[in-house]
Order: sequence, then C-alpha cells, then structure tokens
Amino acid sequence: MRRPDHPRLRNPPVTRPEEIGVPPPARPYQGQPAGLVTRFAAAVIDFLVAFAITLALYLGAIGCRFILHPRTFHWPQDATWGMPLVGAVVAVLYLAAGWSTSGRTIGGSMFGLRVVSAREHRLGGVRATLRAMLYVLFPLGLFWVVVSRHNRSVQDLVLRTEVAYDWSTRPDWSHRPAH
Amino acid sequence: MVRNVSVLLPMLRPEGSIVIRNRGMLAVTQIDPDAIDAPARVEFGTDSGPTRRDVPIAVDVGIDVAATVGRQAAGVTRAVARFVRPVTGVARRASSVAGRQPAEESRLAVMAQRGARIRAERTEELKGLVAHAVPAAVNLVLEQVDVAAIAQRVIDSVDLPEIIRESSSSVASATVVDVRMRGIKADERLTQLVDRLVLRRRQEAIEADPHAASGSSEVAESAGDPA
Repeated sequence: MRRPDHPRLRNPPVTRPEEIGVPPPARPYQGQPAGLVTRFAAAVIDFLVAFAITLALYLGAIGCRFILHPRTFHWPQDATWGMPLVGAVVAVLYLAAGWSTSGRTIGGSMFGLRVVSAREHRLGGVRATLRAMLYVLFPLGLFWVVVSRHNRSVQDLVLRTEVAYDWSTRPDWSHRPAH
Repeated sequence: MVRNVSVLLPMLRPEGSIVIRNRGMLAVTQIDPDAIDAPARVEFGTDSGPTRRDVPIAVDVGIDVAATVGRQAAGVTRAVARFVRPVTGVARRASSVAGRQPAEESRLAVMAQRGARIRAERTEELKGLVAHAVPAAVNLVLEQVDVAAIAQRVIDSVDLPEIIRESSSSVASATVVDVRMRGIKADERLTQLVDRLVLRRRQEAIEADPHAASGSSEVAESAGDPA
C-alpha cells in the first residue's frame, strides 16, 4: 500500500478474503501495511477505551470507599500521579491483551487492523507487553509511519512488528504460533 | 327493501386463518338490518342531487327511459314494445336534435331531470344498504374468527428479533465498512502526498548533486526501515 509495487505480507493471517465477507473494494488491501491515518484513529479509540476503563476503576474505588466509610468520606484530593500511573498500567494491559490474543484492540477492530510479528505470527505476551509499554511511554513513535517505507512505527522497528489491514474476524493462527 | 345482499370478503379457512387468494371470496347473504344496533355511516364524498348536472344529459335520459320501460315492462309485452319504439328513436336522435327542436328539448330536459332524481334515489338507497351491510358483514366475520389467535400465530411465525438483529447488524456492518474504507483512502492520500513531497525533495537533491542525493536516499531508507 505504501508503494504501488509494495509486496503484500508473505503469509497474512487472512485465509481467503472472499470467504470472510470482505467487500470487493477492500480485498486488494488485505494484508497490506496500514497507514498513519487508520493507525492513529485506532490509537485514539484505544486511548479512549483505556481512559474509560481507568475512570470506571477510579469511580469504583471511590464508590467502595464511600460505602465502607460513609461518614468520613471525602473526595480524594491527592490523586496527582496516581491516576496517570493507573491509566498507564491499564493501557498497557489493555493493549497487550488485545495484541497477544487476537492481534487487535477495539480501535484496531473498528478499522480492520491487526498487529502481527514481522513473520506474520501472533505476538507473544512479552513482545505485546513491551510494544504496549513503548506506545504508552513514547506515543509519538507512531508518526514514524509517515516516513517509513513499510509503514512501520518506531515501536514496530524496535520489536519487529507490523500492522496490516485485516478485516477477517477469525484469523487462522493455527500454523503460526505466537512469537 | 333489498333483503338479499352479497358481500365479497376474503375466504375463511376452517382453522381460522385468513388466506387471501386471487379468486377466493365469501358470500354473506340474508342480512337483517333490524339486528344492527348502530349502523355505520358511509360517506361517498359526492353529493348528487336531483337537479345537479354532473353527468351528460343522455345518461339521465337513459335512466329515465330505463325506469319507464321497467315500470311498463312489468305489464304486458305489447305495452313495452309500444314504449320502446319512440324512446329509442328519441335516444338515437338526442344528440343531433338538441338545440334545434324546442319541444323535444324540453321533453328531454324533463326526462333527464326525472332520470337524475331516480339516480339520486338509487344512490341514497345504495348508501343505506352499504351502511347496513358492511358493519353487519364485518361483525359476522369477527364473531366467527379469533382475530387475537390469528395475530398471535402470525407474530409467532415471524421471527421479529432475528429480523431486527439482521437489519441492525447489516446497518452496523455497512457503517464499519464505510469507516474502514474511508481510513484506507485517507492512508492512500497521505501516502501520495508524502511521496510527492519526498519526490520533490529528491528531485531537488538530484539536481544539486546526483551522486549525493542517491546515496543519501538509500541511507535514509535503510536506516528508516531495516526489515
């Protein structure tokens, strides 16, 4: 997709696009490296999801605190670094869980993106966690996609991963174990 | 008073389900208007009085002639023959004679007025008949049909949740496909834009120093993407 003659992924997780209901206009893009716009949009959605989870946890914790100590309850005033830290942990866990299982998060699922290794394997837990940590610590690395020949971010270059268009709902990971 | 009325209704099957067929009809006869408590009022939307001229004069003349012939035909055939002969002559010459012979014109006018009055009377009778017959027929059908059971059977036969699920999923699927395709197109446009800028820079570098430009681009690509 990056170049007209750019080769498709060697063995993308999509078995046969016409079998999984991919519309004809989208079939040529299956397995191609995804561009910055879709990846950025998916990242925004994932950020919102992680934020919502963190907020739910925060409100849940406050609710529990109110139930346990209703008389002495007061709204916490000292949550300066705690919440961003919790949010970062939640984001790492959320991203790592999505990438190490189906290869996609909610944002990736919405835009039909899947994260695979350079050999189109499913990411292992360690690599998915490291990738999530890199994204949380240095999100600007995503913009390297613009100048990369194969649409790879800094995180992709460091961990040898790829993000491809993959609209299949059930990728065939059977012959490609996690690495 | 008309006592025998035929009302066309959809055919009823013994098990109670209504099957509408092209030629399937039910004839309801012998409807007693006295048994109806509150007959519905039927509005036809047209008000045709005896003096209103909304049809050609020949129609009313024909109606009057037919009524006259009908009354007299109840008698003797010979009397009918005596009436028919001049009337048919008048009807045949009505269009050509109108406006030229005052006597026959006035006679035609009287006949037309009489025909219009008869038509209005028949229309009112028909209105009253329909107002009595239709509610009676509907009540008769409703008494014999368990509408609630039929409706329940129809609702049971229709998998409404599945229909809603399919329609909503198809709408959601179409939306997702649209969003994804828009994203892919946006990626393509951004790629083309960046390619154009890079090409322009590369072209400027080539114009400045061809050897240095080619070497720097290769280094940049290899450094930016080792895979």
